[in-house]
Amino acid sequence: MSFLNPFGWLLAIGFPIVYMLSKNNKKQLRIDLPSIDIWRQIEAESLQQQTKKWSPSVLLAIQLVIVGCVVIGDIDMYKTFSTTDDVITLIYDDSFSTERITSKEPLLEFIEANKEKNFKVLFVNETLTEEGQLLTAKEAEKLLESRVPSRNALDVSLLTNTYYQLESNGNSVVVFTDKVLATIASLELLPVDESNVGLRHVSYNPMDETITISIENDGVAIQLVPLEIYVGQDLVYEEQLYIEGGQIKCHKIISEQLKNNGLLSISMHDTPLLTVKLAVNDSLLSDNKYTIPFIQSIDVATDMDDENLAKVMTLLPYVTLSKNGVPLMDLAIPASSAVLYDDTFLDAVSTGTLFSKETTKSPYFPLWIEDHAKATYEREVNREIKTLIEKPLPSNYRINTMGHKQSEVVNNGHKKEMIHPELIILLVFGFILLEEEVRKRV
Amino acid sequence: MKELLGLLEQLNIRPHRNLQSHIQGPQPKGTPGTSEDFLKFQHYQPGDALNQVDWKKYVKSKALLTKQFGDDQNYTVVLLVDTSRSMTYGNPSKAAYQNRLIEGIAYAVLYRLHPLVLVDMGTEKRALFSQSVNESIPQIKKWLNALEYSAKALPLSSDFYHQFSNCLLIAVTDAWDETYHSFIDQQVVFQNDLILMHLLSEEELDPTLNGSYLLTDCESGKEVQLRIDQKKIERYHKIMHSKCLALKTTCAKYGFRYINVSTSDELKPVFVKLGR
Repeated sequence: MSFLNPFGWLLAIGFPIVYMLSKNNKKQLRIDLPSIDIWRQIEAESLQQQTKKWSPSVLLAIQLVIVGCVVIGDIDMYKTFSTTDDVITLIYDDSFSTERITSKEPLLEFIEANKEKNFKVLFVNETLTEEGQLLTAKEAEKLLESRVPSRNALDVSLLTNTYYQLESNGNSVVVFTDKVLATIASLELLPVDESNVGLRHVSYNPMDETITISIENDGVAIQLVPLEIYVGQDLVYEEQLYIEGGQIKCHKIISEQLKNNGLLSISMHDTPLLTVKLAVNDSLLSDNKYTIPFIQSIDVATDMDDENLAKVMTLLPYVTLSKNGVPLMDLAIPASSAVLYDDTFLDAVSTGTLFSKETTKSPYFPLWIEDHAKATYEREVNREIKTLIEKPLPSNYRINTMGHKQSEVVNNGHKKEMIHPELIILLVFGFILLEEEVRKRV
Repeated sequence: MKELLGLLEQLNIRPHRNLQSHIQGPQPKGTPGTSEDFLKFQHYQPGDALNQVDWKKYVKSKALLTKQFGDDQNYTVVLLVDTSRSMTYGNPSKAAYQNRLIEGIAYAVLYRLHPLVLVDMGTEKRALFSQSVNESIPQIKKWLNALEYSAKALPLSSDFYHQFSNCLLIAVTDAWDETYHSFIDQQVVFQNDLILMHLLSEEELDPTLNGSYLLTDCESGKEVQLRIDQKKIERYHKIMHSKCLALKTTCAKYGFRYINVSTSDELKPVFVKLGR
């Protein structure tokens, strides 16, 4: 129940106005009389009768109710508003694969570092579309610790919609899990439609091998999918190739190689993932930069059964998929599908079933993926946490100003306590009324 | 007008007890009748002179009776004029009505050759009229018109009582001041007879107020803010009635006359009451 704000303001401003208007509306005529003492006596009697009607116990009860309302409203309001003042929304990927390769520790550390704040924890597989209950830091920690991984597929459209809503609402959003943002990043490659509205920019930073996803309005977006990109047999380093504005771009030297080779293979942690055949055209070269207009086809690097191929197609559903150079047009999946990297697919990656048996023979392969991913994840998450803690909050981190203890986020992120002006107005008006009543009775 | 003058000439405003006025100044010449004309017996009232008691009758019947004499007593009529600001209230104002009333009373008193003294109750300014009616009435009118309604009426000073004892006092007042009860008591001490003409305006007797008002006392400036409804009007009537009754009771206690007058009343019946 929001008792004081905005209702508090309504009461603080509206009540005196209505009171004054009602007072002024009385056709209060000023009359000079000799019989004033009689009228004074009558008024005194009337007041006495009123007081008699409102026996002390009733008056006390009314006072208690009022005080109770204020106190309850205050407590409730404090809970509601102070939490929304400083709410951090965690979008947590609780899917099975992510749970397996990531640790909750950095997240728990982050919560611990912000224990004075309140949290909304959204799980991508189940409750992402729900508003989420406001939790204290302790409750959020408990919830995360008790969370059992889910094998449900990630619904990207729900994720992006929610993400966009949260962003446009101005709440702070911290996304911790790699897969969530990787998914969002991938969406940039898809045609813009309702499912990914709000996602506007994806860039690859070769310096730290991260793909950065920017949301319109400068929303939160930083995540990584450490991809190793090869042109032919050559690994592409640093600024030689990057993704910008939904397009893959590279320098001339790379483009020459691409021209000769025509193949771009994408690996994950030294493991060939996909080989992409690119359409190359000299005319697109300019300023030492080469724009690859679109991905023409993807050739799965190794043998793959049809079921997994179908899953791969869901990754980039609008490109032609081939198997060992043979187009597999009959396996085309509708482009509207937005299911990417689902658990089954990633399971296949981790267990080696997606790739040739030769490349996955190494017994350490799944473990290696896990360790590497975990290390990368933790590094990035820690960096993100550090950024959030040490640097000013982003400009769009808006604080809901409602609440008993109004908080104002200043540059260093500390709260500044403010006294509510509407409370003061109400109090002053209350005292004026009280004084008037006392004066009447004396 | 002629009819009214006829009535006033017949009007005998006399005290209900034997008075032996002693005021300084010229006395009217000649009095109708003789002061020894026996009129009737009357039960003894506190304040009656003991020499008026018929002791012979007391011995026979054990009843204290006083001898009442005719209107030929040589008594002075003192007309007390209320000049408090409240007298200006009402439409017509109580002051205007009071003036007409006093002129009539003065006419009747002077016609019967009794000395008449007009006293401004606020300032205690006084004027003695002992000439003929025709000479005095214009002067009285002038005197009344010169009055200023601003003062508070009571209490009267000891100097007043020193000068006016054993007189017939006729007070025309709205009697809003609570001290009127002690004023009545004092007349017993100074052996005056009193006729209290309680003059109220129609607006005071039956106020037509309904709604929210800021009422201001026209004398004290005190204010009361209230919402008047039918219930409060009824309550007002009750209080007003009890107030009048209290004055009447106090007067009756001493054998004084109390006449309730409204500004809407015709003068003739009021004069008739006065002559009873």
